[in-house]
Amino acid sequence: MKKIIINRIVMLIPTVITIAFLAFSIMYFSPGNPAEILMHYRNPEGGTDPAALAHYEEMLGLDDPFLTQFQNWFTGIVSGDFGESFKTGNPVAEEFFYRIGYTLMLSLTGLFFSLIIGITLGFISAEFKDSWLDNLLRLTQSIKMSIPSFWLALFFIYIFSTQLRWFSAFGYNSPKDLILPGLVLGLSNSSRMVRLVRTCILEEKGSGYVYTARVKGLSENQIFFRHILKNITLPIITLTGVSLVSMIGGSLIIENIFGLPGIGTYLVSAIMAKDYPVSMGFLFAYGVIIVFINLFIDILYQFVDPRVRDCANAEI
Amino acid sequence: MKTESVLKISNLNTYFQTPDGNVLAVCDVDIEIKKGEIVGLIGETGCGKSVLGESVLKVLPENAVSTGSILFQNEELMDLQQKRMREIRGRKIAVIPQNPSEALNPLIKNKKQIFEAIDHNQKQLGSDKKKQAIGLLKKMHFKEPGQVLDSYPHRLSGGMKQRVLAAMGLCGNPSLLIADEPTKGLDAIVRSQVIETLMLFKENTGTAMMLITHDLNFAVKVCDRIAVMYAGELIEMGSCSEIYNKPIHPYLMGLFMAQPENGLVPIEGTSPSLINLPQGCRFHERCEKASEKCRHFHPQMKKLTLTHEVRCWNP
Repeated sequence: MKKIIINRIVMLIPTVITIAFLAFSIMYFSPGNPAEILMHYRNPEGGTDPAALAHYEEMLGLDDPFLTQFQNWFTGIVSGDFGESFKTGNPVAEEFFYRIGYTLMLSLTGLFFSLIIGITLGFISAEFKDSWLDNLLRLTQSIKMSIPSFWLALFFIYIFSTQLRWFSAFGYNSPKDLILPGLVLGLSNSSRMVRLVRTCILEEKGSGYVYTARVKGLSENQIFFRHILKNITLPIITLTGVSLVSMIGGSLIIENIFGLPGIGTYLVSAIMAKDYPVSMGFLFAYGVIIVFINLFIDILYQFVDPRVRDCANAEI
Repeated sequence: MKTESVLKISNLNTYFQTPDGNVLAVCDVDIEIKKGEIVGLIGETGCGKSVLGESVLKVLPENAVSTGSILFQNEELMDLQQKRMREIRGRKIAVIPQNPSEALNPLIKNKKQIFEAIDHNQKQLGSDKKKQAIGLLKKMHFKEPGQVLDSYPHRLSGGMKQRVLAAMGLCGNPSLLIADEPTKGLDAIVRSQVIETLMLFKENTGTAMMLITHDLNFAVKVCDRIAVMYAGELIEMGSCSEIYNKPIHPYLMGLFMAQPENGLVPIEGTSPSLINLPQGCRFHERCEKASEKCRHFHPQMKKLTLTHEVRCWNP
């Protein structure tokens, strides 16, 4: 097992280098001169003095060939130096680690809600297949899927913050403030989970091993908890990974509405402001996080499914 | 000599309610299986053989309706609740399920799956269970039972999985074994292993067996009596030698002609839809001997000898 994990991590190195390369290329190939932008931020009143511009160009190493620039930036990253923001002058790494915490907390809260809602409703839907309850649940999922998350967020703020005054509507003061945005995020991601859980349970119920368990004399409860539950964890894990990635990447709107200092908002404003070190660093770190989530899912799979484990062992 | 009957099915009808209409999978089936007897149930895919087995076990899908009488050791199974039925399944009626490759849970060790069956029969200590499981696997000719117990199903071959399933069935003291397509999709070597497994099973328990298969040669090899099904109903039933030496129903003769050693001559046409069954004999559209009578009137089972029965107007 240890060997497989190490093997997987080593295999990630080329992926990570590719992410770095792509993130860096964005700055290199974008129109406009980064030195001009930096100069403008440092000295807004200064105009375009060619000598000063040359100074900034040299500072950023813009005269070096592409690969040398990439190498300089990448070695910096490896040692933890992501450069400084053009706009604020703060170290990018500091900004990132401050913000990623909020984004991760929000995403995990969302994931938690999405799993709870998805598994419970999916189970009920499968258990009472084709009944009015199942039809109602399925209709609700379709409606929920077509409601945009910002609408849901505003609706929830109106109900729970403005009317009931249970949660604060804006900003982050305590973990309690994550509940409302997490719920919105979880709800809008749970539709797929409900459908997946329902389909999987129904599919597994018709499978050969369930028949065997039945003719062995096991009760339906025993069959569900001992046999089916284990088999449906695999697709749930897969969808969980996909959901988590999309939540981390897509929580921008929710972060904005609820005033959470996550990376989504910051990255977008950095891109708008052509704050290249921030965009590059955030893009890269973001990519690496997603890669690691996938790695984690991969490893989780091996814990659950002996067939995957055997395949992985055979590869090494 | 009259031997005790283990299973007596009379007038069994099973149909599935679907949006397209009722699918009549089993119609008016009467079969009796006596103690220690192996009865083969043959027919092509979709003729209702497996549904017949499932009706006996009462493990049909929710949209199925089953009527008639199923007497198992003089107990009417039709009246039993699922809870009571569970006590019979796995204890008194053992099953070797279809498709051994999918019949074991891929994520659970063989050990746990066999233990489940043992627990269902009698709660035991862990060490006793292991002893019993090893004993069962040994009976099924496993050379390294300990290793089989500790591995997952995907490491076993199809034939080995089948034997594990058979071991599970053995752990009770079944008086009836239902083997559903035990040779389906297996190659010749594994097939002979399975036949051996079934024979082992019989040797070990002396149980009566209902062997559901589409493999005529296999059935002839192991069965005492054979019942042939077509489109949901029995069309011919007799002792093994009667079926093999004196097949009467044109469909059964067609089946024999379609065997590889007889030149693989196919039966023309396809079997009728179980939703819209033809009037008259269900086989008349494909029958060379079909007469006007066959087209309009449905034949009943007719006794030719004490054991040989056939459903045909022109025997």
